[in-house]
Amino acid sequence: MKGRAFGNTHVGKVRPKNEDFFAIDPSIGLFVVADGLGGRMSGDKASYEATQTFVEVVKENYKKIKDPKVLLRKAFLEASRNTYRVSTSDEYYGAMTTFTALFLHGKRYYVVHVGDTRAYLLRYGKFFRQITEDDTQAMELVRRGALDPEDAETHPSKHVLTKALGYKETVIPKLYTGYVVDGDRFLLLSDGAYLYFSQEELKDILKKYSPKEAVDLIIELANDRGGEDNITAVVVEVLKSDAGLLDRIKALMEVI
Amino acid sequence: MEEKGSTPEQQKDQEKKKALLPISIGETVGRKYRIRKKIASGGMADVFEAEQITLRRKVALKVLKDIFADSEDARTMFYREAQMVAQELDHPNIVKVYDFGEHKGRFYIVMYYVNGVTLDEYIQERGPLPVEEALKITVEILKALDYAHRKGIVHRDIKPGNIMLSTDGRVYLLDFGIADLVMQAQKRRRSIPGTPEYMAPEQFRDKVDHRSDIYSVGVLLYEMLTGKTPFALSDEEKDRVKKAVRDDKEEKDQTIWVLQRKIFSEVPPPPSSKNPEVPPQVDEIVMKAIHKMPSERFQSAYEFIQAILDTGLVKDETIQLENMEIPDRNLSVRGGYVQEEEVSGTKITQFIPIEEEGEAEFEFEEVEANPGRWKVYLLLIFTLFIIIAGIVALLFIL
Repeated sequence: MKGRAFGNTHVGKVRPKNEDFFAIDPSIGLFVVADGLGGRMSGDKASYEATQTFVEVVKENYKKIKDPKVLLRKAFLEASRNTYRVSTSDEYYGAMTTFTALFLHGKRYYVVHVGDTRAYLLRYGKFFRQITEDDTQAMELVRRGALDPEDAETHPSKHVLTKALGYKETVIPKLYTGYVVDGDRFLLLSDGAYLYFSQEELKDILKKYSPKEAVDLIIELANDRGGEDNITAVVVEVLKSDAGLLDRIKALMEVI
Repeated sequence: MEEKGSTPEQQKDQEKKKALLPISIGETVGRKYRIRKKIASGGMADVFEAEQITLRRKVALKVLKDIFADSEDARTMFYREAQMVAQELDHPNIVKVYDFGEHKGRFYIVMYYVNGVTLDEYIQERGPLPVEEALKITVEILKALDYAHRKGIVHRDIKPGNIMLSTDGRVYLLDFGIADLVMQAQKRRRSIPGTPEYMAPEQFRDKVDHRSDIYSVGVLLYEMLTGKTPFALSDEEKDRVKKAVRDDKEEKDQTIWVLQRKIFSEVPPPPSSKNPEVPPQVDEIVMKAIHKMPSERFQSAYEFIQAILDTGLVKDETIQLENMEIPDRNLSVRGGYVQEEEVSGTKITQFIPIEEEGEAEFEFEEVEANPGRWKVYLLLIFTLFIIIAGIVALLFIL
């Protein structure tokens, strides 16, 4: 697989410090965005700790564990444990973080996810969708049929997380996977970023610009529109995948 | 001046300008300075470590937050202040200003890079300082102030964050002139300016003269001796504030009000009540410096220095920073490219700031994966096709 990626983060215009964290590891195709919260201002420690642990464990076991799902689960559990340790320490009591990681491996992508950071996918320049489902109370209500999906975006409980790293020792993530084809563009965002964009606009930006241009633009616009929270964006563009003809057909089926 | 009578387009431009872009690592400012990393971030400015490209020297580049280069007035004021500091203030205890200008709609100032720690960090690391050391540092600060006051320049924002101790034991005062500019800008925005803990009562009423600086130095000395500012809220008071407010912003505002009330009306306990090492004559000096009436304080920095030297407690004027580690000030890294580094046998994962690197390219082999039955079929069909084509071609030729 071949491609290019860029990511950046900005404190925004209101918050005193940046509690988001992101990582890009082009050598193994791993991309992470985490949004720290809670603990009277030590969310930054949680997002850092989770990302750091996760990346380290994946790198360490990359060659040893062949099954990417097993590899990601292991890394996530370790990250979960470490974040919980931080969260229960005196210094950073109550620190938690959301976590979304994209892993490109073989012919497929894998997304491990907890919280309300998001992963999106643009395929063939036409099909744009959100891969992850937010772990928020609003989405929980949607799942139970108590709330219309359209209303979820504006519902007051959309900021209330039902899951985050750090609130207990073993947090079980959601895992999404699918084929990767040439031209796929992945987008990881913290809520401070997607808060200011419609799906249509994100799709447009992703389609028109290179990863760096897209990230710069998203951060600039989010700041222009208020910058109320920390803003983080990572864009990954796959230039050449290892997908065969059949994989491509399957990949198309995934999005239409 | 050209702002007047602007067309709608120009107004739009103006509005666009207000949404200022962040300064990023690796960027070149004023064609002369390359930004290396962010080393401090405060209410009124961000400070970057930068390299002056031609001279290859390290400088500190301060980007002001609250006053924007969007009006001729702001520009005039900023240039006047910056020029004044650069021309008038040449003193070993005052950080030298090399240059200033505008970048991305913001003002910046280029200064001497002090390799050391702020007094803030020093106190946090050490707790209360030994009496002699606290007095020595105070004398150095006062020397800078004595020099500036004689030229009619008041600092207005003396606080531990504005004082640096270099590794070779020198004391530097930062931010002359700038403090005032920023405070005025903040006031226009109706936010509470300055750092209230160190502000003299009259400063809240906008009546400032050089004796307000004397007061602030008194607070500073108090803090060095006891580890706390004289009007710092007790835990009980903090709890009371916390209970009365709904969010962080309200808490901050409320805290400032409580502080202000105490600054106006309370006489703080002398330093010796919190640190028994403090001798009575030092108590006396501190309490005189932080008197609520300017006329009851030391009337000049010089007088203040004399009082300290008269105690006979300052024997040798050199200051030594013992085992002080310079903290890693790279505040800008909230992620980046993953890089592994081996430090004495253990692998450390680091995150390299992205701005320096640009887009990352990745390429990796298809990992193992079953060679794909599909591919085998494809190969089979392909060879079959070639064979048939060959036969057909042969038939044609024959």
